[in-house]
Amino acid sequence: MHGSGFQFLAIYLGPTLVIVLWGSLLRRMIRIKNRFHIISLPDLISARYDKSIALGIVATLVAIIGGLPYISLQIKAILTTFMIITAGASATAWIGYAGPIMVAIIALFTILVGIRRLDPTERHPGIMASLALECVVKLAAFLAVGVLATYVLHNGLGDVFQRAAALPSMPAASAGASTINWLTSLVLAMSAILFLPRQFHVAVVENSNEDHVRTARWMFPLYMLLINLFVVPIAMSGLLQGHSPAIADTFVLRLPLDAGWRFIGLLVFIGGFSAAAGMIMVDALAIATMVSNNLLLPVFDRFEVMAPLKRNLLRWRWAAVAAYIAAGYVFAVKVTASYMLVSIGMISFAAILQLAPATLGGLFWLKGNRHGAIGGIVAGFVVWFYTLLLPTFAKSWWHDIPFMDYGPFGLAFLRPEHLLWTTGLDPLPHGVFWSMLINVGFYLLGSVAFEQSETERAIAEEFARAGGERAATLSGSRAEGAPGDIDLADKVRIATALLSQYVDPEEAKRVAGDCLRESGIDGQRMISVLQLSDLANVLEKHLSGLLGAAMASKALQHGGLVTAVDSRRLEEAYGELAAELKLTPEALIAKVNEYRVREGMSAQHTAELEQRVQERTEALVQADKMAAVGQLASGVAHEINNPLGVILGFSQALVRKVSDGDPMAMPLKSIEREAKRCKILVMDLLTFSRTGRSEKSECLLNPIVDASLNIVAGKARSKSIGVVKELEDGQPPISLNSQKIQQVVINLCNNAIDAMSEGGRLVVGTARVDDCLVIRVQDTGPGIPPDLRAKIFEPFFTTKPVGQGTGLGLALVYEIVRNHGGRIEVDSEPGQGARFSVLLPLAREEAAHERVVTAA
Amino acid sequence: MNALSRLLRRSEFNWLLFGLWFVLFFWPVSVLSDLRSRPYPAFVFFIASWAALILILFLQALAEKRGDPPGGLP
Repeated sequence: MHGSGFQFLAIYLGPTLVIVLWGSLLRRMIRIKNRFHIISLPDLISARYDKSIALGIVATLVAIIGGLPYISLQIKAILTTFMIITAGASATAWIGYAGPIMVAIIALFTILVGIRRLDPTERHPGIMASLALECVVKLAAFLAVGVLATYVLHNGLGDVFQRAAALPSMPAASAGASTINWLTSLVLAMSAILFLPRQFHVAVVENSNEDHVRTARWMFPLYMLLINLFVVPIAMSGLLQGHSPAIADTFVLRLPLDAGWRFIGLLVFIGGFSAAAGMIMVDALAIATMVSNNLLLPVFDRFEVMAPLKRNLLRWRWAAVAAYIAAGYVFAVKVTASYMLVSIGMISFAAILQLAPATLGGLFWLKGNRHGAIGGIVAGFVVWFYTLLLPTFAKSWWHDIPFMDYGPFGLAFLRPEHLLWTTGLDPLPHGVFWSMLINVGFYLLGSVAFEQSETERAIAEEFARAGGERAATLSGSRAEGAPGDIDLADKVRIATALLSQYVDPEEAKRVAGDCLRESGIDGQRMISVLQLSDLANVLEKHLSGLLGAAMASKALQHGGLVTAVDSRRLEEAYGELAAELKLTPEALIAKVNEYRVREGMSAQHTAELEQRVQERTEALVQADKMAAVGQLASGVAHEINNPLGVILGFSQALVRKVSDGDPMAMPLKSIEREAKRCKILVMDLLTFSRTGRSEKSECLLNPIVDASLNIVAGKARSKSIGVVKELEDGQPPISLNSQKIQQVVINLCNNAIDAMSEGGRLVVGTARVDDCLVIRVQDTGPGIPPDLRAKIFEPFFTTKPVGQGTGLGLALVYEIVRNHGGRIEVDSEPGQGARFSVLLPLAREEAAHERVVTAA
Repeated sequence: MNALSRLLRRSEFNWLLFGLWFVLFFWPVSVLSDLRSRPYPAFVFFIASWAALILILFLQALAEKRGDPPGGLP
């Protein structure tokens, strides 16, 4: 807060504002990532601009140099808080080495957990889960200190504000954020949340499901609000406790320690340490991938003698992690000692901002090209270095530097913090303004002045297309095979050899197999040139996941999979195709794209139709089954009913004749009991077989439901179940068989009551929904497992113990409702109870509706 | 309800939110910069406006879950 007023809020508000636009921006990046197997931001930039290796190198250098202050910021936070928390401890020799030891442990942990092996997707669900946990710990710690500072050390928010306002050390308006400073911080924070290596990695590369963006859009700002809730009170409280504003960044740790709440102090340290360590880890992971793919591989590829080094891709990434974290440590100790943490972070953000024009332009502007992107990034980065980083070095290491005050060679218009005699701007807004002006200017000029190559134009269009559609609809069409004359085994050997340059032979074989499957040519002996083209595309995507888009493209070009002869034949094939269709190559591409979209829509339509057919078939099968069971039940019941009546009658007569002490009494009572059970079953069967024959009349639904509830009320009471009636008034009369519908309600209620063996709540309601009247029966029982949901309406299916259910109750309900032209919906989650909704159509209104439709 | 759901899902609505809250955030922060002016009401307004934005984003997520995600460029 000191010196920058409430500027720190911009760090949180910037991302909050960007998140409002995430719906389309982040989704676009994720779709492109999925489509092109993007694994880092330089990879995305390089892929968009003609798979340019030079651009990949430039973007990586910017990310490394710009990201280094950021990682050093995290290391510095760890070291500072460690020193505070160990201030009271007796000094031991190892304390002096605590910094290097902690940094080494973080580097080792990053390598062991993050890059044990090469993963083409570059996803680390374990690390993401631990980051999420770390965020929760940090939030809990921060809220605990907030409550302590506001409600324990003072009497609430009002009290803190009132006392703080009277402090002479409290910053006044002049020390606060000017509009320009505020806007600069906001823009930097907005860019950082999208383009910082670690942010891009977490939000885009690690994303496994585009729908996660939906949840993140409100949960992320909520997290930031909660973590900021007490920042102001904590800062004021720190000043009220007599701390210097110069150490405001450490108030959150000092307050609990000073107040004797050491446990909260420890929690803050753990939260802060884990958060910083997490940031370092993910940042180092992302940077290591960039270094290996965008810096080292191009060098190894350029010099023949270094080619064998390509096989050690994994080890180079390990080395990159160690080197990057070590460099961050040196930067933290040597360069930034005299600066506030926030200022260092802002310089880092300003460097990353240099990647924004090329990235956003690449996503949304079809004409943006490679020349513009390289020119913009390089020029912007040079200005950033000159106006922001150089002065930082200068202020940290040297004093009284003439070129800072008078410009190099006395040229005043080149003073690093007053370019072209600019005055009235703080160094940060000054550096951001000039670097972005130059960056955007060069990008636009370069893109307008130079022509895009055909490949680049095609990629730009594909980016635009991929960003606008979900990945699933862009599976692409595989070239169907007219029998070809290219030996597939040869091509597989070449593909495997190509992959073996970067991964071990077993992995290479596995990836080659995946490529064959994805190309749809697995198992074929010969393939056509169009199928070979498909195979090459799939292989390039897999290579992109390992090496980045630019190197993958180059590797494929020199890999020999598609020979010069193949290329010529491919051109001829497309030429013939275009000639047959009387199209120019551009029109052919447009046509192919159009057909791809149509194919996607057609596939979706087919899937919907298939689903409908399946649903109808299931309904027909169920109806057939019911009819057959009904006939069988009717026949069997009639045949059994008469002999059963005789058995029951005689057994009851005999039971009455024998005394209780008679040895025959028990067997006779058993015969009577079982015969009664059979009688109930037979009656159920007869009822079931007669469901089709029903006479309907116009009546109101609510009295029927009411009468049914009176019947089951006693049973519900005996099982401690509360019955709630929610009957909607004002419903129109409906044509139905009241006795049958009463039976439906009773059966559903009985089932619900039986399901709530330990008591609960039974809610029975009626409502009108569109052209139907609905009866709802809801219980608070254990619910219906998903695997049983399809079977519950089948005759003789029951989950009740033997002897307690015939399995005909719901089958009967189903039949009755079907005969009324209605349907039943079941909503149930295991453990959440079940809700049966019986929808009965209002026949007269349906007819009226049909009349209207016919008239129209 | 459906009209609200449709409105929330429009990409133009995101730009409206962005612009509106850009201004809404700016005022309380500028007031908060002068801590001697007892900016308690500004602080409360600031937190409330932030919470309101989150609520709208939450409703938007609900609306999107019910229907198709919004398309088009931002």
